[in-house]
Amino acid sequence: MTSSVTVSLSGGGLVGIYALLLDREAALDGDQRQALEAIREELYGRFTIEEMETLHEEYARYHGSARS
Amino acid sequence: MKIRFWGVRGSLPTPLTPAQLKSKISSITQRIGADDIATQEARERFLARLPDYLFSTVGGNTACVELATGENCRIVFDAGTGIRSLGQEILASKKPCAVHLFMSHFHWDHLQGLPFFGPAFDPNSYMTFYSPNPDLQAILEGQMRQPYFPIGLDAMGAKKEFVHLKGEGVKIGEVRVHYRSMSHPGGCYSYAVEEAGKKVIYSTDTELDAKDFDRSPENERYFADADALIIDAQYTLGEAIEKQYWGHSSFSLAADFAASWRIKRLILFHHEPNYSDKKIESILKSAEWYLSHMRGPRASVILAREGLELEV
Repeated sequence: MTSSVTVSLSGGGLVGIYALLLDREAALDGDQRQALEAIREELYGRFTIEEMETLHEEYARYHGSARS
Repeated sequence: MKIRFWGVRGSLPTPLTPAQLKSKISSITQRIGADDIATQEARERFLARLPDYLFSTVGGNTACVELATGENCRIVFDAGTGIRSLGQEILASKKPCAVHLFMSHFHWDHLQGLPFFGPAFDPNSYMTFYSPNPDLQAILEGQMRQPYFPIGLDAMGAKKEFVHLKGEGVKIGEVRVHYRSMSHPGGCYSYAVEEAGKKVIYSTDTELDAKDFDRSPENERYFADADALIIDAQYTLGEAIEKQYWGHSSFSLAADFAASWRIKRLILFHHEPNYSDKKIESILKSAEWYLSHMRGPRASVILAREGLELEV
Protein backbone atom coordinates (compact mmCIF):
# COMPACT_ATOMS: atom_id res chain seq x y z
CA MET A 1 0.00 0.00 0.00
CA THR A 2 1.41 3.38 -0.92
CA SER A 3 -0.54 6.32 0.39
CA SER A 4 0.18 9.20 2.69
CA VAL A 5 -1.99 11.29 4.94
CA THR A 6 -1.33 14.58 6.62
CA VAL A 7 -2.33 14.65 10.25
CA SER A 8 -2.24 17.72 12.41
CA LEU A 9 -1.14 16.95 15.95
CA SER A 10 -0.60 19.20 18.94
CA GLY A 11 2.90 19.26 20.44
CA GLY A 12 1.69 17.02 23.26
CA GLY A 13 0.05 14.61 20.84
CA LEU A 14 3.20 14.34 18.74
CA VAL A 15 5.43 13.75 21.77
CA GLY A 16 2.86 11.32 23.18
CA ILE A 17 2.89 9.14 20.07
CA TYR A 18 6.68 9.40 19.94
CA ALA A 19 6.93 8.27 23.58
CA LEU A 20 4.54 5.40 22.95
CA LEU A 21 6.45 4.16 19.91
CA LEU A 22 9.79 4.64 21.62
CA ASP A 23 8.71 2.54 24.60
CA ARG A 24 7.87 -0.28 22.22
CA GLU A 25 10.70 0.39 19.75
CA ALA A 26 12.16 -3.10 19.93
CA ALA A 27 8.84 -4.70 18.97
CA LEU A 28 7.92 -2.33 16.12
CA ASP A 29 7.55 -3.66 12.60
CA GLY A 30 9.11 -1.89 9.63
CA ASP A 31 6.16 0.44 8.96
CA GLN A 32 5.83 1.42 12.60
CA ARG A 33 9.57 2.03 12.82
CA GLN A 34 9.36 4.24 9.73
CA ALA A 35 6.62 6.24 11.44
CA LEU A 36 8.78 6.56 14.56
CA GLU A 37 11.69 7.81 12.46
CA ALA A 38 9.47 10.38 10.72
CA ILE A 39 8.26 11.72 14.07
CA ARG A 40 11.79 11.67 15.46
CA GLU A 41 13.03 13.75 12.50
CA GLU A 42 10.26 16.26 13.11
CA LEU A 43 11.11 16.49 16.80
CA TYR A 44 14.81 17.14 16.10
CA GLY A 45 13.69 20.47 14.74
CA ARG A 46 11.93 21.36 17.97
CA PHE A 47 14.17 20.03 20.72
CA THR A 48 17.87 19.98 21.45
CA ILE A 49 19.71 16.65 21.43
CA GLU A 50 19.84 16.73 25.23
CA GLU A 51 16.08 17.33 25.40
CA MET A 52 15.50 14.51 22.93
CA GLU A 53 17.47 12.15 25.17
CA THR A 54 15.00 12.58 28.00
CA LEU A 55 11.86 13.55 26.12
CA HIS A 56 9.87 10.37 26.67
CA GLU A 57 10.82 10.24 30.37
CA GLU A 58 9.78 13.85 30.75
CA TYR A 59 6.52 13.09 28.99
CA ALA A 60 5.85 10.09 31.26
CA ARG A 61 6.74 12.14 34.35
CA TYR A 62 4.47 14.99 33.31
CA HIS A 63 1.51 12.74 32.60
CA GLY A 64 2.19 10.59 35.65
CA SER A 65 2.10 13.63 37.89
CA ALA A 66 -0.89 15.09 36.03
CA ARG A 67 -2.88 11.91 36.69
CA SER A 68 -2.05 11.69 40.39
CA MET B 1 40.27 11.42 -4.68
CA LYS B 2 39.13 8.86 -2.20
CA ILE B 3 38.85 9.61 1.52
CA ARG B 4 39.35 6.73 3.94
CA PHE B 5 38.67 7.07 7.64
CA TRP B 6 40.94 5.11 9.97
CA GLY B 7 40.18 6.98 13.20
CA VAL B 8 37.35 9.43 13.86
CA ARG B 9 37.14 9.81 17.63
CA GLY B 10 38.23 12.93 19.44
CA SER B 11 40.34 13.44 22.53
CA LEU B 12 41.13 9.86 23.49
CA PRO B 13 40.61 6.32 22.22
CA THR B 14 37.14 5.07 23.07
CA PRO B 15 36.74 1.34 22.64
CA LEU B 16 33.24 -0.09 22.80
CA THR B 17 32.79 -1.39 26.35
CA PRO B 18 31.46 -4.89 27.12
CA ALA B 19 28.32 -3.29 28.58
CA GLN B 20 27.75 -1.26 25.40
CA LEU B 21 28.24 -4.35 23.24
CA LYS B 22 25.81 -6.37 25.39
CA SER B 23 23.27 -3.57 25.19
CA LYS B 24 23.49 -3.49 21.38
CA ILE B 25 23.09 -7.27 21.14
CA SER B 26 20.20 -7.21 23.59
CA SER B 27 18.41 -4.47 21.62
CA ILE B 28 18.91 -6.36 18.39
CA THR B 29 17.59 -9.66 19.77
CA GLN B 30 14.48 -7.89 21.07
CA ARG B 31 13.71 -6.84 17.51
CA ILE B 32 13.98 -10.29 15.97
CA GLY B 33 10.75 -11.97 14.88
CA ALA B 34 10.41 -15.55 13.66
CA ASP B 35 10.20 -14.39 10.04
CA ASP B 36 13.47 -12.48 10.36
CA ILE B 37 15.50 -15.64 10.81
CA ALA B 38 13.56 -18.00 8.58
CA THR B 39 16.00 -17.83 5.66
CA GLN B 40 19.45 -16.47 4.95
CA GLU B 41 17.84 -13.76 2.82
CA ALA B 42 15.48 -12.80 5.66
CA ARG B 43 18.40 -12.62 8.09
CA GLU B 44 20.29 -10.32 5.74
CA ARG B 45 17.22 -8.13 5.26
CA PHE B 46 16.78 -7.93 9.01
CA LEU B 47 20.41 -6.91 9.56
CA ALA B 48 20.23 -4.34 6.74
CA ARG B 49 17.23 -2.71 8.43
CA LEU B 50 18.99 -2.23 11.74
CA PRO B 51 20.10 1.31 12.55
CA ASP B 52 23.84 1.91 12.40
CA TYR B 53 24.01 2.81 16.07
CA LEU B 54 22.93 -0.76 16.92
CA PHE B 55 24.57 -2.89 14.27
CA SER B 56 27.75 -0.85 14.00
CA THR B 57 29.81 1.78 15.78
CA VAL B 58 31.46 4.99 14.62
CA GLY B 59 34.64 3.55 16.09
CA GLY B 60 36.93 4.39 18.95
CA ASN B 61 40.26 5.10 17.28
CA THR B 62 41.54 8.65 17.31
CA ALA B 63 42.13 10.87 14.30
CA CYS B 64 43.62 9.43 11.16
CA VAL B 65 42.31 10.13 7.66
CA GLU B 66 43.84 8.95 4.41
CA LEU B 67 43.42 10.59 1.05
CA ALA B 68 44.12 8.38 -1.92
CA THR B 69 45.04 10.55 -4.90
CA GLY B 70 46.17 9.97 -8.45
CA GLU B 71 49.76 10.17 -7.20
CA ASN B 72 51.44 6.92 -6.26
CA CYS B 73 51.54 7.73 -2.57
CA ARG B 74 49.34 7.96 0.48
CA ILE B 75 48.45 11.34 1.94
CA VAL B 76 47.55 10.92 5.59
CA PHE B 77 46.25 13.42 8.12
CA ASP B 78 47.26 12.83 11.71
CA ALA B 79 48.65 9.83 13.46
CA GLY B 80 46.02 9.04 16.06
CA THR B 81 45.46 5.41 17.01
CA GLY B 82 43.66 4.80 13.70
CA ILE B 83 46.99 4.94 11.87
CA ARG B 84 47.90 1.53 13.30
CA SER B 85 45.21 -0.17 11.17
CA LEU B 86 46.36 1.75 8.09
CA GLY B 87 49.88 0.48 8.79
CA GLN B 88 48.62 -3.08 9.03
CA GLU B 89 46.92 -2.78 5.66
CA ILE B 90 50.07 -1.38 4.06
CA LEU B 91 52.23 -4.14 5.56
CA ALA B 92 49.76 -6.80 4.41
CA SER B 93 50.14 -5.53 0.84
CA LYS B 94 53.86 -6.43 1.11
CA LYS B 95 54.75 -3.41 -1.00
CA PRO B 96 56.99 -0.57 0.12
CA CYS B 97 55.09 2.67 0.34
CA ALA B 98 55.49 6.43 0.36
CA VAL B 99 53.47 8.08 3.10
CA HIS B 100 53.02 11.85 3.33
CA LEU B 101 51.87 12.49 6.89
CA PHE B 102 50.43 15.93 7.67
CA MET B 103 50.13 16.77 11.35
CA SER B 104 47.30 19.10 12.36
CA HIS B 105 48.86 19.60 15.79
CA PHE B 106 50.50 17.50 18.45
CA HIS B 107 47.88 16.76 21.07
CA TRP B 108 48.05 13.12 22.13
CA ASP B 109 45.03 11.94 20.19
CA HIS B 110 46.72 13.04 16.97
CA LEU B 111 50.09 11.39 17.36
CA GLN B 112 49.76 8.50 19.79
CA GLY B 113 49.41 5.94 16.98
CA LEU B 114 52.68 6.89 15.29
CA PRO B 115 54.93 4.56 17.35
CA PHE B 116 52.72 1.66 16.18
CA PHE B 117 52.73 2.54 12.48
CA GLY B 118 54.39 -0.55 11.00
CA PRO B 119 55.53 0.86 7.62
CA ALA B 120 57.64 3.47 9.42
CA PHE B 121 59.91 0.59 10.48
CA ASP B 122 60.31 -0.71 6.91
CA PRO B 123 63.64 0.46 5.44
CA ASN B 124 62.12 0.25 1.94
CA SER B 125 59.37 2.74 2.75
CA TYR B 126 59.38 6.53 2.71
CA MET B 127 57.88 8.73 5.39
CA THR B 128 57.55 12.46 4.87
CA PHE B 129 56.23 14.43 7.83
CA TYR B 130 54.70 17.88 7.33
CA SER B 131 53.73 20.66 9.68
CA PRO B 132 53.85 24.45 9.75
CA ASN B 133 55.41 24.01 13.20
CA PRO B 134 59.21 24.39 12.84
CA ASP B 135 59.76 22.01 15.79
CA LEU B 136 58.06 19.12 14.00
CA GLN B 137 60.97 16.67 14.23
CA ALA B 138 61.85 17.50 17.83
CA ILE B 139 58.22 17.09 18.91
CA LEU B 140 57.86 13.69 17.25
CA GLU B 141 61.18 12.58 18.76
CA GLY B 142 60.00 13.86 22.12
CA GLN B 143 57.06 11.49 22.33
CA MET B 144 59.15 8.47 21.26
CA ARG B 145 61.69 8.33 24.02
CA GLN B 146 62.06 6.95 27.54
CA PRO B 147 60.09 6.90 29.75
CA TYR B 148 57.17 7.37 27.33
CA PHE B 149 58.17 4.72 24.79
CA PRO B 150 60.91 2.07 24.75
CA ILE B 151 62.42 3.00 21.37
CA GLY B 152 63.13 6.29 19.66
CA LEU B 153 62.05 7.75 16.34
CA ASP B 154 65.51 6.79 15.04
CA ALA B 155 64.45 3.13 15.31
CA MET B 156 61.98 3.77 12.52
CA GLY B 157 63.96 2.48 9.56
CA ALA B 158 61.95 4.11 6.77
CA LYS B 159 63.61 6.94 4.89
CA LYS B 160 62.36 9.99 6.75
CA GLU B 161 62.01 13.60 5.81
CA PHE B 162 60.61 16.46 7.87
CA VAL B 163 59.06 19.34 5.98
CA HIS B 164 58.41 22.66 7.64
CA LEU B 165 55.45 24.07 5.70
CA LYS B 166 55.66 27.73 4.75
CA GLY B 167 53.92 30.10 2.39
CA GLU B 168 51.47 28.50 -0.02
CA GLY B 169 51.98 24.95 1.21
CA VAL B 170 53.34 22.09 -0.82
CA LYS B 171 52.86 20.30 -4.12
CA ILE B 172 53.09 16.52 -4.31
CA GLY B 173 53.02 15.68 -8.01
CA GLU B 174 49.75 17.16 -9.25
CA VAL B 175 48.30 17.43 -5.73
CA ARG B 176 48.40 20.76 -3.95
CA VAL B 177 48.16 20.95 -0.15
CA HIS B 178 47.45 24.31 1.46
CA TYR B 179 47.16 24.95 5.18
CA ARG B 180 45.45 27.41 7.46
CA SER B 181 45.63 28.09 11.18
CA MET B 182 42.40 27.33 13.09
CA SER B 183 41.30 28.24 16.62
CA HIS B 184 42.31 25.58 19.13
CA PRO B 185 44.21 25.80 22.42
CA GLY B 186 47.90 25.59 21.50
CA GLY B 187 47.10 26.01 17.81
CA CYS B 188 45.97 23.65 15.07
CA TYR B 189 46.20 23.62 11.28
CA SER B 190 43.63 22.56 8.73
CA TYR B 191 44.65 21.32 5.29
CA ALA B 192 43.01 21.84 1.92
CA VAL B 193 43.95 19.33 -0.75
CA GLU B 194 43.30 20.05 -4.41
CA GLU B 195 43.62 17.65 -7.30
CA ALA B 196 42.07 17.75 -10.77
CA GLY B 197 39.55 20.46 -9.85
CA LYS B 198 38.42 18.72 -6.64
CA LYS B 199 39.00 20.04 -3.15
CA VAL B 200 38.90 18.26 0.21
CA ILE B 201 39.43 20.12 3.50
CA TYR B 202 40.53 18.41 6.71
CA SER B 203 39.83 20.64 9.69
CA THR B 204 40.00 18.76 12.95
CA ASP B 205 40.20 20.35 16.40
CA THR B 206 38.60 23.54 15.26
CA GLU B 207 36.55 25.96 17.30
CA LEU B 208 34.92 27.88 14.49
CA ASP B 209 34.77 31.61 15.08
CA ALA B 210 33.94 34.83 13.26
CA LYS B 211 37.23 34.94 11.35
CA ASP B 212 36.37 31.61 9.68
CA PHE B 213 33.15 33.11 8.30
CA ASP B 214 34.83 36.34 7.18
CA ARG B 215 34.39 36.87 3.43
CA SER B 216 38.07 37.60 2.83
CA PRO B 217 39.65 36.59 -0.50
CA GLU B 218 41.94 34.20 1.44
CA ASN B 219 38.98 32.45 3.06
CA GLU B 220 37.13 32.38 -0.26
CA ARG B 221 40.09 30.67 -1.95
CA TYR B 222 40.61 28.23 0.90
CA PHE B 223 37.10 27.17 1.93
CA ALA B 224 34.63 28.04 -0.80
CA ASP B 225 32.98 25.32 -2.89
CA ALA B 226 34.98 22.47 -1.37
CA ASP B 227 33.74 19.07 -2.47
CA ALA B 228 34.13 17.70 1.05
CA LEU B 229 34.83 19.22 4.43
CA ILE B 230 35.94 16.93 7.24
CA ILE B 231 35.38 19.03 10.32
CA ASP B 232 35.40 18.87 14.08
CA ALA B 233 31.76 18.58 15.17
CA GLN B 234 32.47 17.20 18.61
CA TYR B 235 29.68 18.83 20.56
CA THR B 236 25.97 19.35 20.67
CA LEU B 237 25.03 23.03 20.70
CA GLY B 238 24.39 22.94 24.46
CA GLU B 239 27.76 21.42 25.22
CA ALA B 240 29.58 23.80 22.88
CA ILE B 241 28.15 26.73 24.82
CA GLU B 242 29.30 25.20 28.11
CA LYS B 243 32.74 24.44 26.66
CA GLN B 244 33.57 27.66 24.90
CA TYR B 245 37.33 27.94 24.25
CA TRP B 246 37.88 24.21 24.67
CA GLY B 247 38.76 24.22 20.98
CA HIS B 248 35.91 22.26 19.37
CA SER B 249 32.76 23.07 17.43
CA SER B 250 29.13 22.08 17.61
CA PHE B 251 27.63 20.17 14.70
CA SER B 252 25.23 23.06 14.13
CA LEU B 253 28.00 25.62 13.75
CA ALA B 254 29.78 23.20 11.41
CA ALA B 255 26.55 23.08 9.37
CA ASP B 256 26.33 26.89 9.32
CA PHE B 257 29.94 27.03 8.21
CA ALA B 258 29.42 24.48 5.43
CA ALA B 259 26.37 26.38 4.17
CA SER B 260 28.23 29.66 4.37
CA TRP B 261 31.04 28.40 2.09
CA ARG B 262 28.84 26.36 -0.25
CA ILE B 263 30.50 23.11 0.81
CA LYS B 264 29.08 20.11 -1.04
CA ARG B 265 29.64 17.42 1.56
CA LEU B 266 29.91 18.03 5.27
CA ILE B 267 31.60 15.21 7.18
CA LEU B 268 31.13 15.34 10.94
CA PHE B 269 34.38 14.27 12.61
CA HIS B 270 36.26 14.10 15.94
CA HIS B 271 33.39 12.60 17.89
CA GLU B 272 33.12 13.29 21.60
CA PRO B 273 34.39 10.27 23.61
CA ASN B 274 31.55 10.62 26.12
CA TYR B 275 28.91 10.24 23.42
CA SER B 276 27.42 6.84 22.63
CA ASP B 277 26.81 5.68 19.08
CA LYS B 278 23.16 6.52 19.58
CA LYS B 279 23.93 10.09 20.61
CA ILE B 280 26.33 10.56 17.71
CA GLU B 281 23.59 9.27 15.39
CA SER B 282 21.30 11.89 16.97
CA ILE B 283 23.83 14.53 16.03
CA LEU B 284 23.67 13.34 12.43
CA LYS B 285 19.86 13.40 12.41
CA SER B 286 19.79 16.82 13.94
CA ALA B 287 22.35 18.14 11.45
CA GLU B 288 20.30 16.67 8.59
CA TRP B 289 17.19 18.42 9.87
CA TYR B 290 19.05 21.70 10.30
CA LEU B 291 20.60 21.64 6.81
CA SER B 292 17.30 20.62 5.21
CA HIS B 293 15.73 23.80 6.56
CA MET B 294 18.38 26.12 5.13
CA ARG B 295 17.83 28.19 2.03
CA GLY B 296 19.96 27.81 -1.07
CA PRO B 297 22.22 24.94 -2.07
CA ARG B 298 22.59 22.47 0.75
CA ALA B 299 25.52 20.38 1.80
CA SER B 300 24.82 16.72 2.30
CA VAL B 301 25.92 15.57 5.74
CA ILE B 302 27.80 12.39 6.58
CA LEU B 303 29.01 10.94 9.84
CA ALA B 304 32.68 10.00 9.79
CA ARG B 305 32.95 6.34 10.77
CA GLU B 306 35.94 4.07 10.99
CA GLY B 307 36.24 2.15 7.72
CA LEU B 308 34.14 4.63 5.74
CA GLU B 309 35.40 5.32 2.22
CA LEU B 310 34.14 8.24 0.17
CA GLU B 311 34.90 9.02 -3.44
CA VAL B 312 35.18 12.73 -4.17
